[in-house]
Amino acid sequence: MQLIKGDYFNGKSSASQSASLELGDGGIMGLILADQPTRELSIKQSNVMPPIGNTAMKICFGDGEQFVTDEQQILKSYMASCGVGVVDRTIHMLENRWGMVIASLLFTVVVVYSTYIYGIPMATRTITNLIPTTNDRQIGENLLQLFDKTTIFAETEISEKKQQHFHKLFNNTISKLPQRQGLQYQLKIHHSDLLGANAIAIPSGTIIVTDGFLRLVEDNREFKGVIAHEVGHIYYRHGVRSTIQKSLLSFALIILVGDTSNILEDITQSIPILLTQTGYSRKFEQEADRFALEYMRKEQISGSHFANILSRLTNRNKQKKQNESKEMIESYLSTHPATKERIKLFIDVKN
Amino acid sequence: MQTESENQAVTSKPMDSVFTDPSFLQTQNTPDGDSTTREDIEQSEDYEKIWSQVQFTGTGAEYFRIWIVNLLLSILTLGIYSAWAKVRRTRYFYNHVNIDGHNLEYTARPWQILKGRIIAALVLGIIAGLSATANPTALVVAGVIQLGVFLLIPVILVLSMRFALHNTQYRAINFDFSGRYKQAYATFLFWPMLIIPTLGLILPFVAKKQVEFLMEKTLLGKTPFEFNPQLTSKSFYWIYAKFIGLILALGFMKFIFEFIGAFVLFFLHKFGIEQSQENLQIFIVTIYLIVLFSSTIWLQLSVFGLIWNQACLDNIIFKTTLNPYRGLWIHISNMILRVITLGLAAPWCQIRWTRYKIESLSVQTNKEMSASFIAANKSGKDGNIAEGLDDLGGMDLGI
Repeated sequence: MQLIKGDYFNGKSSASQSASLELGDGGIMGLILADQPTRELSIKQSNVMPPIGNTAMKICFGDGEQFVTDEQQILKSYMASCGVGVVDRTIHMLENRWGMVIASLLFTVVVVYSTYIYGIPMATRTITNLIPTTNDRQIGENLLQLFDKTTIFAETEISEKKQQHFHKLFNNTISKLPQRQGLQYQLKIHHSDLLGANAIAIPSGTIIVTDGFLRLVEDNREFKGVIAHEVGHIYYRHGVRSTIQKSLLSFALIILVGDTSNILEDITQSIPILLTQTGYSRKFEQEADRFALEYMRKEQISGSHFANILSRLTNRNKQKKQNESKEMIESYLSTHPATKERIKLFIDVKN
Repeated sequence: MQTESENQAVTSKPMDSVFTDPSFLQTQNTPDGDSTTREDIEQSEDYEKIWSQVQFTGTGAEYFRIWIVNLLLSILTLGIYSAWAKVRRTRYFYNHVNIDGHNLEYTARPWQILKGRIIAALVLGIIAGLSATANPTALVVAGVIQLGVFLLIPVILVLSMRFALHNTQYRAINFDFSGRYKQAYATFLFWPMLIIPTLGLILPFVAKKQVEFLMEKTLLGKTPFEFNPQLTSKSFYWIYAKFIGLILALGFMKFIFEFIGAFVLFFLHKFGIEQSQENLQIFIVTIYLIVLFSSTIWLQLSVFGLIWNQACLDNIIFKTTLNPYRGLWIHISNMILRVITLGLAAPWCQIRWTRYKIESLSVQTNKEMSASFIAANKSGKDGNIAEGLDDLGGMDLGI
């Protein structure tokens, strides 16, 4: 029979009263107030707050009554002998062993890293394969409808003859490229002040090229390379994949850092989220680049053509950017891999 | 009766004197009259005055172990344990806050938190899912849901306050929140809507209203927190004026940084080192973000100082020695530490900040009160069921 000292609160007023608790057999505890045994409590029917750190332990019973004691060790071993609070005590034990903690740390780092590198992209691929391409088509059509309602794109100013020329080149290119069941590659030419020189892949199979882009094209093979790159995005279903990947990533990050209660913490933690997402988009760009390279190798087109148009596009966008200093953040979070790297990839292949 | 002007005289004294000079309050003359003021309580002869500093006994090494176990179990259970983790984390911090010999307790049940998180995740998931389809109708629906959530913010706020406070205990007495939805809509939706039409001029006034709503509706047992002396709009306008000054000063520094950056770039260029424009931009953007966050943190801490130097609970007086600049430094250095250690220093950072914040607080107690801190009754459930959404109230909506 052990006696532990503590404080008793009646739950009605904040006044405390010194008390002690007699730990008896079979989980029956005797509460002693003012040196008088007052009543018997059963440890199984009271609510013992799980131990945390080295803080006082609280036993709650009756109508909001509490017995608070600093004798954590004695109470814990008593609980063990009564078979109460197994989970709580196990967690508390885990938290108190440095060996366990270091093992947890290593395990966590490995899991987090491999989830980011392998787990999420793999899960994304699996889920994407489960979604029929009719879904991509629907999303694409909705997007095109949305574009119609905005002023992003305007009627093209390219001559009819030139348009026909590019359409012919396009058809020639896609005839050599692998098809994805249910998706049809299509070319659309538009003028766009907002996007400048650009080519965009819509998940449904439509590729929109801007007048600005077509004016930069100096060689048919450059055009073919860019089209192959955009088809790569469609073929690998990057639109759907990035949506799924983003959701999975947010979910994983909520698990990882979801327990914040401070604005500043939220901010410091949202920076890595942004960075990890751009990391994934880089992967998509690289995948599309390799798709284009594969095509160009087969067609015996030198990689330097793609590299040329790429560097011309970047130069042009850089000029534009220097005029608009507000685009700083955009370039900071740029989703394309450093263009130098990409250009190098194509030149290396040539050699 | 203490007059309004005397009241203002107290608060319009520079904040710093309150921080650095604890005797400041005691040197005030007690006016005759029946209303009890801060000074009355302090100088009353019935009480033996004891200022006791609030203690925070948590340590980084100990919390690190809890943090990593929380992380591990959350990962292993695909996030389900995160609700339990929240309870453990909160309990660690609450249990280590020691006021006058007794600690705080957090009594929320993980299931309630899990329930709230599942609902929040569903709503977010539905919005994200609808947006992802890019279908015009779905986008409209998603927009409507978002608007609905926005309009519900005051309700969510009241529910969260009620949940958080109801689950906070001191000496076996629960805290409570008595704010009503109607008042929440006025303070957190109606008044803020007027900020833009008035070009932000009423922003400090709105901030004051919000602070008053959150504090004066907070109860320990049945005793509400009060401000004595009352908060004045003047003090809020003063803090916001300083806040704008800080932003302008730091914003000016942005130009200096850009100038330095360009200078460095020029020299590197001279020595034949081509530094990419992008690196410079990253540098400047980072500085800019830090400026913005610093000012906001400074603002929050200044308001914290204002609140806790005027807060009373029955006849217990609080005061804080928190210095907003020191607090800002802790935040910035914590952020740097986190980045350098890839987030591993987070537990130490949290403990460091909590210790500074908590230990800046003192309460004035007396012999009688240390025996019976507040003779308040435990609030019964019956008083609370009046409002309709209360069954939702049994969960944490994560604010």
